[in-house]
Amino acid sequence: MSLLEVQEVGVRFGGVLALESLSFSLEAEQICALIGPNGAGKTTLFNVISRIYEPSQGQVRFDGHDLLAAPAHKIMDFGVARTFQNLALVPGLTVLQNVMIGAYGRSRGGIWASTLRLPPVRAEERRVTSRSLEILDRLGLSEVASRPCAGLPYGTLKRIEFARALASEPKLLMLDEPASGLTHGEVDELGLLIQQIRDEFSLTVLLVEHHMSMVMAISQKVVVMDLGRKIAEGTPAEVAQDPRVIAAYLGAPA
Amino acid sequence: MSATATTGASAHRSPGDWALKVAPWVVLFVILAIVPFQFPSFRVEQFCFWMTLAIAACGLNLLTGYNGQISVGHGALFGIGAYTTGILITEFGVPLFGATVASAVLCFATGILIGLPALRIKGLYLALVTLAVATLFPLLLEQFSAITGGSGGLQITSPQLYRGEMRERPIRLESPVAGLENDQWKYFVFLGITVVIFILSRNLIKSRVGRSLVAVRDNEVAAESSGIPVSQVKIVTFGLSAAIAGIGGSLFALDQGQLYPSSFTIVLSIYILVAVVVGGAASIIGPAIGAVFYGLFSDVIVQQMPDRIQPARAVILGVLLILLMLLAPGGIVGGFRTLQAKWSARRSSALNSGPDPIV
Repeated sequence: MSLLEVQEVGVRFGGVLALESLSFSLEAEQICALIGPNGAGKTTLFNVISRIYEPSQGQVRFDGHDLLAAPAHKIMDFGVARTFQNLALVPGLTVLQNVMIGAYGRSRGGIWASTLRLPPVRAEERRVTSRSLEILDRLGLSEVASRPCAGLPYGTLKRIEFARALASEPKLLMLDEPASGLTHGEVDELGLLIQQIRDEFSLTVLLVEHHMSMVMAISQKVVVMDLGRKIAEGTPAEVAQDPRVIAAYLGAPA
Repeated sequence: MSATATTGASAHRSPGDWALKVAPWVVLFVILAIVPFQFPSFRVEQFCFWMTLAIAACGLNLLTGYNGQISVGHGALFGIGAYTTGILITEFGVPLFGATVASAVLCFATGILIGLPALRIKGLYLALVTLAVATLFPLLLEQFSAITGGSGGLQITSPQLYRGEMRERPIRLESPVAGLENDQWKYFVFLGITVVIFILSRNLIKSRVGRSLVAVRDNEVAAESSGIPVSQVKIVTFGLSAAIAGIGGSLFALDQGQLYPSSFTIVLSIYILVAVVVGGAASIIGPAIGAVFYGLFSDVIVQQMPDRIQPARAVILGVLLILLMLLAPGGIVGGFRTLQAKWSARRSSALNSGPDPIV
């Protein structure tokens, strides 16, 4: 059975149909890219999976769970983590603390035990700190661990979000335009990093991306969307040949 | 491996840095310990009042400073703590500090009730709801005068041995220590409670739960997708914040021995908020500093002013607040941190003495 199954999902904002009966599935440890012109509904789909938007129809199943039956903060428990297109970091915390936020659901420590700083809380704090530092180190962010997020370069902030998502020990990692704002060299590096992280952490990756070279290089599967619908699906080579995809990207011939 | 290097660096500071970190606390505690012996009794009583305000401000800071929920109703929660303590002692013969615990529990529950609308409304709209609570509270006290004593006040009494027989007498905190006057004893009891509350709130802020408060304040969507139950965090923070304000109010009741609705108007709520903002929201010690500054202003500086100027004290306070917010938007602690950052930047650039490194 597939790890993620999106079935007939539709999202409507007032009269606007943001997603129309979208279905696709994702196998474990695949890297799958969602591509399509702006406004195609890619981020909308991310927001449905992470329970920010309520779909008007359809089903989303992940690893045997019905995601749409769970509240947003439970999605992470099932093993779904994500990054955001427009960065959603916590400016009031340091880089390390931001990553530790990712480990919130994977650590214990209630309000009373924390207030009294009981020994189990301290041990847990040490464990989460060293785990988060390891992840920062893996992503080459050790240098900035104790700095506040404010004032760091955009590419670094994107990586911090990546680190925070990893800290939640996900099975499915959803990356919303991880390469935006990066230089060509950095994009290639990121593509390599995503593949390595997928292997090291046995992840499945769902990716929204506009950098076609990276999408073509790293994904096993590409889902092409346009105006809220899926217009093609297949291996990178297959979709690159698809006339509907070419039309969506280049405009239909007159 | 650089991960371990980072932790190592932060764990082993140089002895100089360590002394620099500890010294201010040692000085502070020495000052706090000798203060009650250096001032007349009425001043020591005022210090006790400032501490009750500092506790309430500490509670409000958790909510407003760290969790980003604005409340201008903490004066009412302070009042609920005070009246609960007064009524429990007078009517039900509950021991003094037992009543404090009960007040905290009741205020926790009340805070959760007030916090429920906060799930749907935020920012200024939440401030308006809490404003309504603050405005209604003194009116409710007068409405239910049968138990609160109404505007005639509530005299807190307990059965005490007086001239060989048990009588209802105004409560007093008797000093069990030979060398300490009653007011000095009260000062140290209050100081102990205040310090414990600030340490516990520091523990909370520096924990996983504390990080979740800040995450909810700064970015609810990110918090939620990281597995933080945003609604639960907001509600529980409201309750906890209210409980701490209630403890402050309870101590206020023990301090004053009598309660009047006029002490718990919207003005008190604003003072608590002022203490948080002046001291520095989202800093642990800030509310205490703010409460002391407010106390200094209203109980010391205003009293020294010539009679002609005294009626303008609200205007003077307002102008001072505006100036402070212009000079140090982060309050006293925030301003201090900015100076510290500038100073250490200057020191490090002096050490490098070459062109500034490109960061």
